[in-house]
Amino acid sequence: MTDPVTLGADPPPPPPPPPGEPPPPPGGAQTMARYDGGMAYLYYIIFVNLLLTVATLGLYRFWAKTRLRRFLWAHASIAGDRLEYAGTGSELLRGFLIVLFPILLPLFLVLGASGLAVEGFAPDWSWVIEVIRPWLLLFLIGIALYRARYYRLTRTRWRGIRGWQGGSAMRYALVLTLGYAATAFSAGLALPWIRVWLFRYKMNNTWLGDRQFSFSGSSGSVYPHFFAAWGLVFLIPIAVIVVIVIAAVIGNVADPINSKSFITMSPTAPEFDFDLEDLENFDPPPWAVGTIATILVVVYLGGLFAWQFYRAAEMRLFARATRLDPLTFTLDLSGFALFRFSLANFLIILLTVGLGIPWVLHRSARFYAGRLRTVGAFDGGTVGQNRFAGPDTGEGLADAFDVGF
Amino acid sequence: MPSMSDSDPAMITGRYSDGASAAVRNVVVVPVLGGLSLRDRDEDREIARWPRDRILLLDDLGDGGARFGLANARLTIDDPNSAAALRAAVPEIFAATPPERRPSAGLLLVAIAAIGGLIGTYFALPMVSDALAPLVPHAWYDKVGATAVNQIATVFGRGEDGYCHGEKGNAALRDLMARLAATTETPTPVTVRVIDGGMVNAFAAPGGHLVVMRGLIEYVEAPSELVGVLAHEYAHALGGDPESGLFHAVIGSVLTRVALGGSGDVTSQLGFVGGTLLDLSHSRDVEAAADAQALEMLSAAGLRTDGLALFFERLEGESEDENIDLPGFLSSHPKSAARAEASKAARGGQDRGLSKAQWDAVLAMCAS
Repeated sequence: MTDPVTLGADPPPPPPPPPGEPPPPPGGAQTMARYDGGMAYLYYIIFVNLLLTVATLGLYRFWAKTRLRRFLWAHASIAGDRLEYAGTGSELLRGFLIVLFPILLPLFLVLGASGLAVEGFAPDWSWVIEVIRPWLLLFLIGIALYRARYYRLTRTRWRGIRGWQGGSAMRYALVLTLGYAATAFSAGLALPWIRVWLFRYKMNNTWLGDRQFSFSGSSGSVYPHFFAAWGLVFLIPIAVIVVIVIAAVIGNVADPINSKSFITMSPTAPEFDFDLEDLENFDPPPWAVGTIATILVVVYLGGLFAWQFYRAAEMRLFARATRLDPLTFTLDLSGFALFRFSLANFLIILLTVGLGIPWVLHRSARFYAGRLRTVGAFDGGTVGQNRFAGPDTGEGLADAFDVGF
Repeated sequence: MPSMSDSDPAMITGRYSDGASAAVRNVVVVPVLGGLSLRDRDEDREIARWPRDRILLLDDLGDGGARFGLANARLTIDDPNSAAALRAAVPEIFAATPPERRPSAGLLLVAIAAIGGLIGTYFALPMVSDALAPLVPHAWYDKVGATAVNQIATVFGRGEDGYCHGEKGNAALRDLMARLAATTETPTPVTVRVIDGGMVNAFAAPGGHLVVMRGLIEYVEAPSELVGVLAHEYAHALGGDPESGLFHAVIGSVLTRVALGGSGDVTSQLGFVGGTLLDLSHSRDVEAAADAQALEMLSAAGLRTDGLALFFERLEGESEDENIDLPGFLSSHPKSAARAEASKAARGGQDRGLSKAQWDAVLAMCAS
């Protein structure tokens, strides 16, 4: 789930903006976010992290993550001041150990044993396990994501002030699970709704010090963009296949000698005797197979293209509807820009066989920072420190599921 | 961040927030006896004094820039000239990394113990598996084994159910297994099935389900080779190796993934038990024991004992030549030289184990 392409869309919680370097901008003034990390040093960090992680059988990964985050946070400025990552590798390791023994091992053993038991004694019912398991895991992943965000926010500082997150991880995970179930049952149509709901829940429970963020957006404004992608991906291929099948049927009718059992013609008048079982014997002409395949590929590429427009609209909504009174945010990101950017990232990773991942991370940070702005004047003096220091340990569950960044 | 030291090149400038609020001020940093004096640039008065020994270096910002902390308060020096001047004046604060970033000795011990425990468990797994395997009733192994073999047949075999069929061929294999079983004191009931797949492979699944692939039957040059392979697999079944192997593989994969993190959906692996079984490889000791027992049974039944050695010798020779991957069940087998010696030492009869008619019947099973 770690997707460097979307870095910056979510992880660094949009903090607020106040007086800039030069005297505080007047109301309505905008301040650009900024990322000034060096790519060579980023490569160095990631390379050393990789070496040490391998050499320690994976144990170093907690310090590796911490080191990378500290670097990225320190080089990301919002409203003129750098973020700070104050977590430690020890906290991550403790979180992992705490989750591993009492929760994960028993859980996996129970899941594994129940799967084997059902397979052994009631193989006809193994589908029940197959159906339950992914949703149960999705629920756990939901908890992991929310808890991990809580940890990261409490370890993120801006001008020395800690972030914080309220809300309930159980509730978040429950809605996430039900929401994705609804998405599955609605052929994807519920997706924007659930994504916006989850973002709203997160932002409305996000704090900088003693000041709460708010999110007032709704999914209505992104649905038009979603329908474009959805239509391309789901409706057009179906329509195309229907058209081609009809064309093949007509072709067979016009060419009775070659018509197979798919369509039976009475000797007197053309008459369709269509039977579902005949479909199994349907042997479409080669041209139809090639055409369908080509159209499907084109349509899915188009769907990916349209999806970038949706993602851009969604991110603009996320920025626009988020507020840290009196501060607002804007994200200057067009669908086409995001498409070009994502395509370039994809090509970089593909052509460098993965060696370009730090490069993608680097350009992602610059890409999003260069488009995020804070709007309005912000009197930092009115925001006090949060008295909650946050959890003592971090991210155990998220590490186990390899989710989050 | 932009430079502020436009007037006096020796002036150290930075940004300061006191940790109580998100207010930020541009400051001039003046090194004084025992620490730093932070002076508000606009109001030109001291707003904080930081004792040197309590200042921590939080971040290296590149170009010499740095962020320092004292409790919740922060001082950021971005201007390279300021950073250089500060480093010259109070170099020790540039080395004051927060102690909590270094792993504590106790924590390191716990971590090493945990990893050691996991590794220990991993190596202790054969023993643990051997101990656990007998606790599960045979009926369960029988069902799991049958399900798994069916899965493998569906995935790797051709035709309706993936198996080769033939009444006479099956009868010949049954007779052979009965002859082998008669030589042991505590025979285990087994079934032999032939999967219509091209891999040169044979294995014993839990519950006494022995499997030979069509590829292996086509590959052997004499019936005694097939007889040797089947005796070897029967020896595994007698030793309960597939049953402990199942525990070994499942627990091992869960532990490995959990220990290395990013375990993902561990349990989905368990869905395809067949895949796990196909990759089962026993330790060299277990293989050697199965070899020894196979030779014992073959000798006692008056059968030729060189078939197994011949088969493996040829397969290994070819895999070296052609660089093909050995099937999982071969990868940990004893070296063929040792095996040839052992099979020479064993005194078998001249019986090939399958008559001409029986051998033809076995070959005919997959011919259709």
